[in-house]
Amino acid sequence: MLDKVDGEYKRFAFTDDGISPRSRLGLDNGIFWNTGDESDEFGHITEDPQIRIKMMDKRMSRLDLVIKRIPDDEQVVSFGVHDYTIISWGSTKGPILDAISMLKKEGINVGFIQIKLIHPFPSDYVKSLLKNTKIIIDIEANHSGQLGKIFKQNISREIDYFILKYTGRGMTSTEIYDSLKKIVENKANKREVLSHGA
Amino acid sequence: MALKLADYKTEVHNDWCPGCGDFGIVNALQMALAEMGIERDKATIFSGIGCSGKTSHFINTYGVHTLHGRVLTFAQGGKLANPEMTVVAVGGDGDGLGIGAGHFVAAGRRNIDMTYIIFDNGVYGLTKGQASPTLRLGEKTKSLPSPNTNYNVNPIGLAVASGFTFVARGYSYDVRHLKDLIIKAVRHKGLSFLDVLQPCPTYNDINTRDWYAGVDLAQESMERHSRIYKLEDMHFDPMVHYDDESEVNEKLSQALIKSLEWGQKIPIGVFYQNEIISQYSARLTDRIPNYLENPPAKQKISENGLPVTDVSEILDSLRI
Ligand SMILES: Cc1ncc(C[n+]2csc(CCOP(=O)(O)OP(=O)(O)O)c2C)c(N)n1
Ligand code: SF4
Ligand SMILES: [Mg+2]
Repeated sequence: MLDKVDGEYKRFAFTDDGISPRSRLGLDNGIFWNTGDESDEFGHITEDPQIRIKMMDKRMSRLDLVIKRIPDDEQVVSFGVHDYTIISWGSTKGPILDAISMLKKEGINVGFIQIKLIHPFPSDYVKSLLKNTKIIIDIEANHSGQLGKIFKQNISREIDYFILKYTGRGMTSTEIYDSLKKIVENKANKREVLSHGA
Repeated sequence: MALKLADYKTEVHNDWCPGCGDFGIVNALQMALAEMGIERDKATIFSGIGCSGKTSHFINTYGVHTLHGRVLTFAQGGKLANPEMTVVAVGGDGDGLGIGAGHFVAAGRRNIDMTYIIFDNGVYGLTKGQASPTLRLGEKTKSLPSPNTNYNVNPIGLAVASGFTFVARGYSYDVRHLKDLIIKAVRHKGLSFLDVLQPCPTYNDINTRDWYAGVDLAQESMERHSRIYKLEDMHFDPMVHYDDESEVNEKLSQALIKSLEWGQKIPIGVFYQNEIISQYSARLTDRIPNYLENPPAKQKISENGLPVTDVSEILDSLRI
């Protein structure tokens, strides 16, 4: 964000790190244009193929920057990794942690990584976390296992079990516990569908 | 250094069709900015999507080419964030009165101090000439396979009914008159609306330049007979002079009645003006006394490339 601008200003200038210094409406000499179509360095609408290629390359190069800039533990939160490890995201975290401690009391260790950064996907970090895990369990509040698909697409590794709930109700720790127990006892379906809640 | 008309032009290639009424509107807008001597970095032109949407790229001030039907939302946001700016929103009749009609009405109710110009050509120019909301029922322009099945929106009437406090109509081939209207609109304290009749020679073969000039009428009567006339020449008084319900109602209803004139005679000029209704900024300063001195645009949001807002304390307090 610029506080002042000297000389010619290009809002979308090509730079080494793919980020252009940003003016804002009303800044002296900081005039720029915005458009929803492709634009040149000033922000003017353009269909020039060469500019389009450079702009897209610049835009997409920022995905690498995102992975570098966001600390690992904000991309993925690890609650321990074991032979059986859960991947999940969002509101499922609480009941998963409760189910894990219920199992622990019985001497069963289940790991859990909560994936917070979906795109760009932190492939290298997730791979390194799960390198010794034997069974991956994807727990999600949707029908298709959306995170599982993204996981497979980026890591080229299969999800072993899905625990899914799509009734519009939150997951409970006991139903997660029940499914995890079945998995550990090798009695589970590949796809466990939860239904607690009236 | 005094700014000249040329200073408000950009080098961007213009791909409007030859003879398009949009040229007259851009010229009038540039002339108005130059005449008012508005600093280039203290004005923003917001535009919608359509042929008319390209306007922001042709004017050498800040320019924001937004989304279809959403120009007023961006423009109001820009003005609220930085009340020092002169804000002009422009867009097509499809943009503002079709997909954007809800925002049009909501903007009227707020009365933010800025100007909105609709390029009224009766068609969706950019997408090859479908009927726009201002095309009349039963009319069949070039691209339509059969006559229009919808009744038309009355832009002036809708603006008056929605709370716009300056409502006027211009004609894109009367550039000087349009320039004067734009200056009045920008200087108006509150939300001003300009409906600009804009011939689209490519797709609207009904409301053409010749039609507005009354060439067909002249052939019948053998004399010059422009359809367009100026309200000011008829001593029409659009101004609400004092804060009184009957005065307001009279000015509102005469504007509405005038807006219904079409066909043989089409009025341009100012239909309605009311500077008694409070501007949105005054309503805001009632709640946020230092809003004008410390608007969002003047607040620091980042330092060394990182946001200055720190929510960690709030998050920590929620930790269980
Ligand atoms: C959300 C969305 N819907 C539809 C479109 C397709 N579209 C582009 S311009 C346009 C209408 C243009 O007509 P108008 O607003 O009257 O502008 P003009 O071209 O006549 O100046 C439409 C429907 C779009 N770009 N975005
Ligand atoms: S299609 Fe019509 S409105 Fe669009 S540039 Fe051509 S003449 Fe103008
Ligand atoms: Mg149009």
